[in-house]
Amino acid sequence: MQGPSHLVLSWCFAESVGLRSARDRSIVAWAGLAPDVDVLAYLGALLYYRLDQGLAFENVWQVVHHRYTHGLGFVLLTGIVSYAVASQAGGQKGRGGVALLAMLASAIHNFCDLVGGGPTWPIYPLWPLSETTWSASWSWTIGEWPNVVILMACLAGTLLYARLAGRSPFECFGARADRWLVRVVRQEQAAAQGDAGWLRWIVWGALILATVAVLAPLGFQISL
Amino acid sequence: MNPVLASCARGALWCSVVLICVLTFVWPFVVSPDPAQPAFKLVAITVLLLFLLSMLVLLAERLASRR
Repeated sequence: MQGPSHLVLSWCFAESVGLRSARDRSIVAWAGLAPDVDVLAYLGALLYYRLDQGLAFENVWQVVHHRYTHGLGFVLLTGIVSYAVASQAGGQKGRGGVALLAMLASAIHNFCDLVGGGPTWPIYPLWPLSETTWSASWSWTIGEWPNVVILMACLAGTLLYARLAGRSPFECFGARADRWLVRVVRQEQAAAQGDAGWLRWIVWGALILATVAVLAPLGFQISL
Repeated sequence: MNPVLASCARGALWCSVVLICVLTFVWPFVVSPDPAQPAFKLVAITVLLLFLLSMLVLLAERLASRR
């Protein structure tokens, strides 16, 4: 499943169970995306192999992807980090709840990749205790229509929810980014347009980069 | 929104989350590690749909309660 889908679904999970703090919802959302942090290894390998995609894929991505971050060990790590950075509003019990939701979001990521990550990318459920892999032969590849439909629904849902509720998964990029999106979808005029001019360019740039990041692994082709 | 529907959705969401954990971390060790088993396909897709639908209902309920 694509990264933006993981982020939006995890934020929706946090919102649907009633997390009150925007900070805590963002923590759960980022925890739901966190297993894909291994993409940094691929980016590092691309630099190391001087942009040779074949070498980077064969020597690093094929070995690393899903191995260390798609399992119970990383889920527990996510919980520990989330507990440390959760807002203090709910006390220790509240922070524990955020950590639990973050761990569940990370586990849901694993399940979504099991169903929608392709049959050639198994997860390692019990790593580091076991090297046993787990995959489904019928799993949708990243460019197949169910994944594309889920991604489109997530993006459309984000805009619709921002318009109706006045907040959205854009909270993950900061309160100002979220307010900007809400203003755009509600077609409201900004109170001080000049102040947020640069922010608008950053958000549009991030959107374009996210689109490229999703389409580049597909060779800019979607299989139906 | 109907409170019964909302509480059913809440129950379905937590059931689906528990099942997601079981399917991801327990199934290959306790039930079967065969990646082609049709039973897993049926259960996994059903659970995914249950998770997405129950979340959708709860988000709609939150929207309705804000209005």
